[in-house]
Amino acid sequence: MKKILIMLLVLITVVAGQNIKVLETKVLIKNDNSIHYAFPNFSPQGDKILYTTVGYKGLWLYNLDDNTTIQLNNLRGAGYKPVFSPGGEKIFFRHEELIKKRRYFSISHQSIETREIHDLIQKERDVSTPRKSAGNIVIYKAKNQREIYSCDKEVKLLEESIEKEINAFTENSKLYLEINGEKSVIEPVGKGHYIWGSISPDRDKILFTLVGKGTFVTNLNGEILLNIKNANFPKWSSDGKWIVFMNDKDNGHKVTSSDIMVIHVESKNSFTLTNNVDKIAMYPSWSENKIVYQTAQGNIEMLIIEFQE
Amino acid sequence: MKYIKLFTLLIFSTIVLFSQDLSGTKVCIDPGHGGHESDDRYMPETGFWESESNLTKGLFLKGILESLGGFVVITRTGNDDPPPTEGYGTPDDPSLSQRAAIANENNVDYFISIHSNGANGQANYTLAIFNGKTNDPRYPLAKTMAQILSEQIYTANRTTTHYAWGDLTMHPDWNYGYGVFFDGTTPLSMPGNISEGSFHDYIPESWRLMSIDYRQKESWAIAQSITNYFEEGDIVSQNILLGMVRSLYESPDYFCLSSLHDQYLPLNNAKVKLIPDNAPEDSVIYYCDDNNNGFFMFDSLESADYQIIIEKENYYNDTASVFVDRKMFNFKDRYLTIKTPPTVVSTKPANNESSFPAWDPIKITFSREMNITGALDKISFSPDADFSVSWENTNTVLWINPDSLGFETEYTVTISSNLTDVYGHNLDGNNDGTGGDDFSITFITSPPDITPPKVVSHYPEMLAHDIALKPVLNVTFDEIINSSSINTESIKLKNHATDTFVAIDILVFNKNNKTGISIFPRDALIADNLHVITISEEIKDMYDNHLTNQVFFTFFTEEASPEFTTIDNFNNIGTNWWEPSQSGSTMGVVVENTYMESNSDTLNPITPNNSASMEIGFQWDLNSGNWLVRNYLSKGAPLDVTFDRNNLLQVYVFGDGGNSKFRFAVDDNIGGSSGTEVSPWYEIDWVGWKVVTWDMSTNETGSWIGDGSLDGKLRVDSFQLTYGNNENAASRGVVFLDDFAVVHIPEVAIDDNNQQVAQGFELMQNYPNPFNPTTNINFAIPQTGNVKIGIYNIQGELVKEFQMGKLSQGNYNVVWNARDNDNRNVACGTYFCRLVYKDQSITQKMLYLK
Repeated sequence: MKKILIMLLVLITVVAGQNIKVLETKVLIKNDNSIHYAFPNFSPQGDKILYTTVGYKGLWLYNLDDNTTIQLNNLRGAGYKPVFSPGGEKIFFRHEELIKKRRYFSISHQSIETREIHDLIQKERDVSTPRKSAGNIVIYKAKNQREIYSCDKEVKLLEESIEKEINAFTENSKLYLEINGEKSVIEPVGKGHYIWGSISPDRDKILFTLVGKGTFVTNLNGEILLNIKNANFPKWSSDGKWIVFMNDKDNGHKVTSSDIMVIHVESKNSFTLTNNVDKIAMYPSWSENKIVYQTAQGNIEMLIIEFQE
Repeated sequence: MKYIKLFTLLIFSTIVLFSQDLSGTKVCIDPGHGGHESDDRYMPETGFWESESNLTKGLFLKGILESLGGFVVITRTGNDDPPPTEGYGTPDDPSLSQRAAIANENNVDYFISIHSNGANGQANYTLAIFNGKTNDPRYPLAKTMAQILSEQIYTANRTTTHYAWGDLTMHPDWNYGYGVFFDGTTPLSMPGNISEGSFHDYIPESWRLMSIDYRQKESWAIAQSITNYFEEGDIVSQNILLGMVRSLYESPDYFCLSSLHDQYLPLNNAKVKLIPDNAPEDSVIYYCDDNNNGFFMFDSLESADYQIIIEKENYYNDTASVFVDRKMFNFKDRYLTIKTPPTVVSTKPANNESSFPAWDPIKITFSREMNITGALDKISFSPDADFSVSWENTNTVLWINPDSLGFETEYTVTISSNLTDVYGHNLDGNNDGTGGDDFSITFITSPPDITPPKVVSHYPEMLAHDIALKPVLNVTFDEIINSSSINTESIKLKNHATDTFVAIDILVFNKNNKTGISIFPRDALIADNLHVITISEEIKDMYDNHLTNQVFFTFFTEEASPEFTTIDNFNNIGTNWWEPSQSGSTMGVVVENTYMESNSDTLNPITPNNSASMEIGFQWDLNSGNWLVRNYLSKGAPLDVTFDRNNLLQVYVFGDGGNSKFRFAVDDNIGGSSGTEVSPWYEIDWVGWKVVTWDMSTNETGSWIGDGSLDGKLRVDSFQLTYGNNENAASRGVVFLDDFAVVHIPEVAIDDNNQQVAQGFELMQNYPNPFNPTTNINFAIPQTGNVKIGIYNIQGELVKEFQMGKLSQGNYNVVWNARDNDNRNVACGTYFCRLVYKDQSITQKMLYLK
């Protein structure tokens, strides 16, 4: 796993006002025989990568400073949309167990240092994944019941005691805009399944995918700023100027190809960062000058990029 | 192209109160494919689109589950998008990653992707797929559900069988899984399955899938699988009566599986009337569609007795009683009789056939059940022949059994138009749609023999090892071969390693109605080379029947010539060997025809200065239950030759093909407490010369008066023969023996290490076997040594070689993917895996099936 494959420069692209140079491609984590690793995600400081296995079972943490890996837990479902605390010292995640074949969810947090796990919610149906908002953790339960937990004090907070932050996200095929703690369904591009929704770092733009229609960036009023036809699993860059996504293709039975691409929101210029004939690259995440993604072989790879004005 | 705008019709209108409760349970339904594009599946023969069928099933399933209280997310609801950019999704054909994301973001408890299958147009089974290997599922519950699902859909669709397979077992070369489960690409966060309910490229099934109700039936089966999975039991209040209306005496012109009764033509637009026994006024009518499936279905029925009446123009009406049980699927298939006169649909022999076996019965197949009363009088032969008749298959097949037809004679068989079917229609002999015509066929009978010759034995065996550099090769046929066809063109020996033919001499012998061919290379063969004997189709019997296919057999020559010690070359037998009758062990023979003597005519031709052989004649007393001829070595120089079990005994035997059996006997522990041990029996199924060898180093012995162990110093006791005691065994025979010798295996020090070598060198049977396309080859070596594995085809050609290099002691696994050294797929069939380690080798047979 510690082996690092350094590849030569993959691609240099020059566009008006913005160059992107891929300096290096590293294989950070190689699949371990039958275990395929997946869904890498950067810590807020960009020094660690949280990832899971296929099936979202368990959480692992890769430290970029010393190239070491620790397994945090082996809980079922823990790898589906976990989030770091703002300081990066804790992980909040949802895990689950099947009771009469139905999924019952618990929300827990785990200290990276001690690896101790504490439950916030235990074995309930209709529990959303944890979401960060103004330094706290927000969870939605059935009937839009919203619960807020402090990242530091491990206590449930009262709605009126917390700072409000604009947020946007997708759940149950709907796109939600949350302002002043009130969430509302918006449909800026019509009916359908809304997925992969998120708010921009400066909280003035919404990114989402409407199934079959494409990926969009809108302002908070729903006015379309950007429409990308073939972009899946879009994520914001740290500065909110870029979006990284995968342009996967399939034949109805299997994924036939997928590359990691980026697009500049303002100029709408897009670049392909991977150019892998034999490799399928998917599910990217971005932190500063690093983009991490998984391959179909179950490896976690990272691109080191350089922005050039 | 006609797109069916059916989806607005699929509002689930049947509101039924069910006892099952899926309240709060979330299911994601994914109708596979979509949008009539290149990744859709289309059958031009029937107009079938998989995307439409999957969507019909998915929408109907959604209605059922919602009526049970379930929360349902469906990944698409339409199918009419214009073709999108190749490989990317549209709202009516989302990408696989989007389909998985819909399920994940809706936090569903279960995901099902609905598909139908396709292969070669000749299969129709039900398959449910889950993520992982079949014996190692990613979600164990997904395998549980796959088993439920496959069985329920199989029950509903009545396919040939059903399976629940892991995607990584089905497609190990894909590495990343199947469909929306892809391990490394679009994983689901919950248990999920892909259902492949039936095969849309099997034409009868493709037509059935064109019926909307037929699709809905599968939705019911999936719904019941889901209630079973969630431990809510069967949907007991939904009783469905369904079936097919087919023609009893007509068949479609496309491929059909008889196990599914698809050889009966489905009838379009049949009217099926269902009459409740207790309330005739509540009768309902179902009209079969015009999509060549004959399918009908009544759902939401009370459990009760009913009558069904089926009407179809030009067919007799059909009435049947049926009890609809309290279960989901109650089947009632009906077969209607067409109102046309009977015809002859096939005959054997065919009309104008020129070589029909004179001894075979004649088969006439009619289009329907015939009235067999007085049928014998309505059949005639020209020229006259005596015959009897019999009927089978509900009196649709007539067998005419002539007493004896002449060879190479023209006959005409006529069936009178007075023969009628069970409805009184006269035979339509000329097939013009009107009854009243005789039917005739004319044929010519065959010569007395029309069976091609077959090879019944050959030496060496396929892929045999350590064959002498000056061997006597033998091929024996099951009948007498025309000697004119036996020559160095029809029989060839080739050195496969050097790709050169080897000059040979051939001797031909006929015994016991068999021909044996002894083949002698003129020069010594090259050591440790693969050789191939080819017997061409030019070989023919006395009636010009040729060998059906070329015959190959291959062998490896020995690495170096071993040492021989002659025991007896039989040039001067004298009185060293007893007559059979001198031994008290000889029994079960006709004494006057059982003898041993010197023979100067039948000699092993490869031996220089050979002047005589030993001739043993015998006649078995078939009234006896025990048979043995013992030619005992009583004295002389041959008795002075001693040896031990690390050697081979060999003698050249001229066989008569009479299937008597031959063996060696030796005395063991000479100088001590001696006993007599015997070799296994060797059945004399060959004609001509062949070397018979007993490898004593394996300690394989037969059963006689010894203890079965070859102990200490050995010497020859006798040759023994016994009756073959099977239907091919001749009661009388003669064999000749020549050049009896001990073959010395190079001395090997027997120490602990070497014993380990013998014990620890193993090539296990490959698994799976048969296989497709990958198989595991496991082997073990006891010490460090060079190892290679060769895969040979049935013709002995090396198709794939694994050069393993020097390996240390241990167990190893090699996976062969049915590709040759040039990475091309090899043909299906039998292959031989040969493991070579140091100077040893082991061969296993493997079968590659499609």
